Amino acid sequence: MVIIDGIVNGVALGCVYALIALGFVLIYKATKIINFAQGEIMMFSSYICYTFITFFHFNFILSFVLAVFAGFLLGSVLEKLFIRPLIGYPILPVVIATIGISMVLQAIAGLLWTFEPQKMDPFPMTPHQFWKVTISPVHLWTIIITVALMIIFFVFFRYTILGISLRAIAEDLLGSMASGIAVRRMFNFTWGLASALSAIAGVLVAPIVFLHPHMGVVGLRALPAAVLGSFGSIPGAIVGGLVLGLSETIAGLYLPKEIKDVFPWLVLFVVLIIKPEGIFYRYEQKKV
Amino acid sequence: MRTFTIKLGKKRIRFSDRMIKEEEEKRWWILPLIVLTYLLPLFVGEYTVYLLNLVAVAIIGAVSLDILCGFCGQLSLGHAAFFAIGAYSYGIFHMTFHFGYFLSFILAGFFGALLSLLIGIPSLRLKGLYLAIATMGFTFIIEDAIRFFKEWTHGVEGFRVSRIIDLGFIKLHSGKPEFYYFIYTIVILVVIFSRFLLHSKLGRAFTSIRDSDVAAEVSGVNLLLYKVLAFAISSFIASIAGAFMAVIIGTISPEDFNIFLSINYLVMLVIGGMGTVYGAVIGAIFITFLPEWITALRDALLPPGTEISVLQFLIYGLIILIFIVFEPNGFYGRWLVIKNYFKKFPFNEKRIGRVAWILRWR
Repeated sequence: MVIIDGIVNGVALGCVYALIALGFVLIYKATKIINFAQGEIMMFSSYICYTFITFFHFNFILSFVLAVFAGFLLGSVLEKLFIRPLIGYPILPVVIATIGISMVLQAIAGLLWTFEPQKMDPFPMTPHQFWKVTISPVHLWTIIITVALMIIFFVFFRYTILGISLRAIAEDLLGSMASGIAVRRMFNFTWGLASALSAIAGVLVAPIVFLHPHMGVVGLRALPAAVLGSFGSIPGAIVGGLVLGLSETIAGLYLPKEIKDVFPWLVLFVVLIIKPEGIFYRYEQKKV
Repeated sequence: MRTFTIKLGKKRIRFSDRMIKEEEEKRWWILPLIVLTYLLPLFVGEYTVYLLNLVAVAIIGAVSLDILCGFCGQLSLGHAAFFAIGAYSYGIFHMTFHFGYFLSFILAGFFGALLSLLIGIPSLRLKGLYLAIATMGFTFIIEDAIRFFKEWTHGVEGFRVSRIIDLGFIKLHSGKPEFYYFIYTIVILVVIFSRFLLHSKLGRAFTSIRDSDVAAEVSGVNLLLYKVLAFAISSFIASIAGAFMAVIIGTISPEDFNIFLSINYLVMLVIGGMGTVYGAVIGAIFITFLPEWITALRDALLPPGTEISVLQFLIYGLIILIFIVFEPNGFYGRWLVIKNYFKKFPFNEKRIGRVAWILRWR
């Protein structure tokens, strides 16, 4: 039954990857840049959750919600401070600016919570037994929350005015400006939304990896997932994340540990060489 | 000097290379600077000489990244990988196979150039951010590969490389001032080479790819050839810089070549001014001395025992953000703005344009 356990673990890991990759994709769709600080925002908000639990003794669900709100705020504040002045710049300086943001966030986390790894495991330990499969509560909740979020996102992008205007911005920036969408506010909202997603992912991934200021590397590992599902496609990010998580866990059962650590990047290389457009590619016209 | 003619109706206008040169530079300051560079170790202590040797490695590395990023516009986060390849292949060729010094250096460079094809060839289809992600992955993969091939690289316990270079007539120890003269000769050669490269046919092709790859292809630049060439030249020089780094440090381990090193070199370019050789040099000097200043700052401000990496990360990040938001052209760009201000002093325009310069980024 090792393989079934592997599949369950893989799906859970894939869900985390999918959430972070979704954050990458949302920001990419709206502003056409990659936010390399995504992992650090994830780290920061899971530290906030940790602080609420250990220092303020809130219960877990409340601090989870508060951490997600904190992530949202953090994302929109960062956008306001550093990305807003750079609108209209070519992509390269903006991307380097996000790397700068990630370094500053790591430093602040190091100052506030030191570089000692902390353990946060608010989920109960006893595994659930379904039929013949044992599944730990962390993985169960990860899968449930991700599926719920996916449904919420589907409804959000399909039926709400906010979601529709986000899609419009991704489709045609000038056109949506002309039709009266507050594009800048939407950019800000997108950053907040992506950061809130990565906050959720951070709290869910914290029991698996220890809390540490350099934990954001886990967030970067979701980049191959986004590439796999062609950057800029929301279902692509989810499928890419699941494929990546599954293949990583199953490969981890049979391959040495050194290879398992870089497995996402190896997948990325193979994908980029064979099919750089990804799976969910949609033809996009590009002006020169 | 090449000449070419253009027909305009019945008129024939003859042009030469010199006539279309866009900027005239006064180069009187170069010779004193070189003399000063060679005289410097006479006045400073041994530790500063060691630091200056590291600065030399950083200059070579930053210039090589500038060829790829600044000239050719291929955003690369994988320079640490080329450093690692250079350092480890120098170590293996020299320490394990007992090849000569010169041969090991050249072989390390060629090995780096060969492995750069792994990214260079897909780079035809990967543009902008995709390339950044791919090169970042390359850094992670190489760092892990060093851990994986333990029997060659000794993995995490570190690979000891001899700190002595034997030139035949003299033995240079990398801690001693003699080594300084040797490595700065190479630095000057690399800087001159990249200046010539920038103004040669190759460099023009690179800049046209940076400005618009479609336009470059339409006007007859072979994209695959030139992109691969940019990667190969850049990683050749970077690998040699890595080999020098191995000689200077003495013991190399995979942690020396993590993603932070790649980011470090990008920061050098951003601070100095991307796309200009002098900018890369200025950035390399600034960033290599920065940890020393941070340590001094830590000793002055904070209680002893505070973790240094906090301050380091904070200052690095803030420097990147401040430079990107306020002066994306770096020190060199600001210097040019100031120079132009004084050049046409009584008649300058009201505001010094900042937007025009940003076109360099693409």
